[in-house]
Amino acid sequence: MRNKVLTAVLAAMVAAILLVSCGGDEDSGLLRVAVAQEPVSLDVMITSSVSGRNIAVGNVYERLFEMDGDTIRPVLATGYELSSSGCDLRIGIRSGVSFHDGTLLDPEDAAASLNRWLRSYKGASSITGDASFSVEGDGIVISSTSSLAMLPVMLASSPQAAVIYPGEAIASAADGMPVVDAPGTGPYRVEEWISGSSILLSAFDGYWGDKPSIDRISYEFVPDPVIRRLGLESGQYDFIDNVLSDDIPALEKVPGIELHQGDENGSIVLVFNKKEGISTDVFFRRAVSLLIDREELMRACYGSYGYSVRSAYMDGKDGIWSVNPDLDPYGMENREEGLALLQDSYDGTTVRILSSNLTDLDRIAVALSSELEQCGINTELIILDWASFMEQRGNPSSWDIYVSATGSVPLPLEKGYLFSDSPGGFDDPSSSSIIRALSTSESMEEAASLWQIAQIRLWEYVPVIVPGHYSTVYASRSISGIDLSDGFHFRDAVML
Amino acid sequence: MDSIWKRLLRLLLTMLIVSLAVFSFISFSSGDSSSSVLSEDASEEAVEAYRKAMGLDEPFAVRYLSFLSSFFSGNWGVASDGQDISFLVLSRIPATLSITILALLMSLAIALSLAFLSLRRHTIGRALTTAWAAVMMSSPVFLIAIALVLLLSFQLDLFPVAGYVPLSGGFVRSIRSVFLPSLSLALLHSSLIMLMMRAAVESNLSASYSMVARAFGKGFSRIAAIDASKPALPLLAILSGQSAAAFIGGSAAVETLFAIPGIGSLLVTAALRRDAALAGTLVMLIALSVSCISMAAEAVSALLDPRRER
Repeated sequence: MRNKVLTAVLAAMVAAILLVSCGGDEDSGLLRVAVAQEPVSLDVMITSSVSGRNIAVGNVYERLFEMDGDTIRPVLATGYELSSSGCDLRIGIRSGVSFHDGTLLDPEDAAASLNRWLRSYKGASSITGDASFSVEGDGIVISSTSSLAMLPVMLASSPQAAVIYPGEAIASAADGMPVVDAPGTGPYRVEEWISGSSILLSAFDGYWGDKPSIDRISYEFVPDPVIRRLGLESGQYDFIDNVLSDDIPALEKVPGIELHQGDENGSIVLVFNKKEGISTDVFFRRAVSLLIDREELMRACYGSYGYSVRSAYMDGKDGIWSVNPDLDPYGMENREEGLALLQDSYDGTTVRILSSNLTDLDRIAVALSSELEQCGINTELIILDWASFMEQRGNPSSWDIYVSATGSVPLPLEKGYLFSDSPGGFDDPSSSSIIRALSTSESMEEAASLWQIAQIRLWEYVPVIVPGHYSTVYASRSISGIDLSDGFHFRDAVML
Repeated sequence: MDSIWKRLLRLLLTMLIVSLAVFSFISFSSGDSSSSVLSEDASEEAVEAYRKAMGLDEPFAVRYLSFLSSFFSGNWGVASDGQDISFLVLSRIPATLSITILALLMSLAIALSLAFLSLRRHTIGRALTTAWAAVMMSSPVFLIAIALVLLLSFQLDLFPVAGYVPLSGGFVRSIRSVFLPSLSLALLHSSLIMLMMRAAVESNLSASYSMVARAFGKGFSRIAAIDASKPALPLLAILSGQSAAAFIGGSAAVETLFAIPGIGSLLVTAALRRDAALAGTLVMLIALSVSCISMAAEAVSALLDPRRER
């Protein structure tokens, strides 16, 4: 009997060995990318998920313009003309561009897409009001009662991407629902999306521009950071996103693996409730701003890498929107001054700190609670999943400070917390009027100088505290030419 | 015949109760699917249009009845991301079935081998297998999975670290892709099967018919494999059914870790996205499969031991 069992075990082992030896992977010419999150949808016009943008924008779907540093570069547009008043914008649409299903792009597609984008994106309506695009010759036009000078920048880089779908795809989607399986104009088409597993892109032969050198890219959804790292080290993946801070020192020593730190992807925000409760008192908000250790808050979430401590609201240290952080009177820890302000503004009530458990934001909430408790402020932590968090923060009577992250945006007026109808509210007439003027600026230079004034005023008003900005760390092997501006893109990349 | 109708009625009731429970839980939890699908900066107009298109502005009873009607008519509607629910569910079934079948086969192979190798009391083999079972049953499955990845994928480079290859991508590649997730589940479940089967066979070995067999000169191994094992087969059928049922809906952790697109991970995603229709459909199907598996296991068990039918 025992011999039979042993024989069976040995037979199973032989079968396993055969299984292992027979399974050669057929991956030549395929770039395998392990990403932490599966996008909810590839309709990047209505979602702003970073994972969806990294996969779809520029690869599958293209915008009319894209940012090249601080310059606007036409993609599906041939260019734009702004009238002398700044209230009329005409955009020429490139001819000879095919969608992945072979139909040709025309100005009707562009107008239908951008009008859907205007309806979906709150930031856009702050510039255009109720205006919409219409077709005029080989281009599209939009006219408003105020300046549209900022609109091309927004079209080039808004988080809810102003990409172009075929007009039929938009018309056939149910109103309000994501567009599913719409063909794009980009250098890659979606060959296969295995829900919960991967998205495979393959090069589009009829692409109007320069063809990419990598034929196929497989984005595989691997939520566990340990598995992503092991996959990279074992050679299964060529590129991984969201490298853990703790893994960086070890990965730096692995031959053939290259670490990349992208541009600043966004900022952490501690949003005060300015509608109800203790946070409506500006002196309390200033006290908190002086009492917190920003470095400690950022370290709680990111460890030792991938962030910078700076209280400016806009990302990018040297961009057009940068403001000297030394001008923030409440931007550095000053315990004595903070405690003095606290004495006058804090009455012992419990401060409710709300956060979601998404991407470790709860760690910042825990660190914030601990720091405030050390200063004598009673706190209560409310950590929820994302959907519950979104619901809870809409109820101003249930929280005092919420912790969140905002993605990088090209214009300050796209910062959601600067709107009066945002969950935290916004009731500073002085800042509001400057931001309103900024939205109708006639040039980027004018807008940038207005933002200098607005940012300093906002630091006094303290609607939020920005403890710092984060940059995702990626790792790769045997690839060069990865574009790491606004996520990661492989259009110009080469597999070595 | 009566029994079949009773079982079908019980199955229908089970499906209704679990779907109502899950549908209510998701519907009455704070937040809805608009916050998962739409951008944080979506306009109010976009949020309202989405909620209307998804029927989220309807009362709970209307939504639940509409869900039931869609489910039983076979037109399951669309998920929160606009994709067809039937397409989503069908695309997830092959991975779950592969894992279930492979994990069950592995569980039985491991459990039965270890049970027979450790039948004799007071041996090192018995002590080791008992300790092994205790360790496996008390270890979280993700820990077992990570250990397997480190050893079999990273160190020995035998299997892929993660990812799923469908059968259309080649049989061997497909089996390789689900080997480690299946083994992780099998190690966990085989421990219980091993302990229970060993106890049953042991008990049968001390029964009078085993002693008679021994008196007739049959060896220990032969009695254990044939005379003492046969009465334990109905138990094995029930245990196999329970394990298979657990693999179908309860392997979300392993699926997530190994990036396998199965039913379990889809159910977790549906709950996090507050997608009541998708989650309701999934629990109805899971309840249906689990009930079918249990009935099949009971039928096999009764076939092997007709006394159970009485």
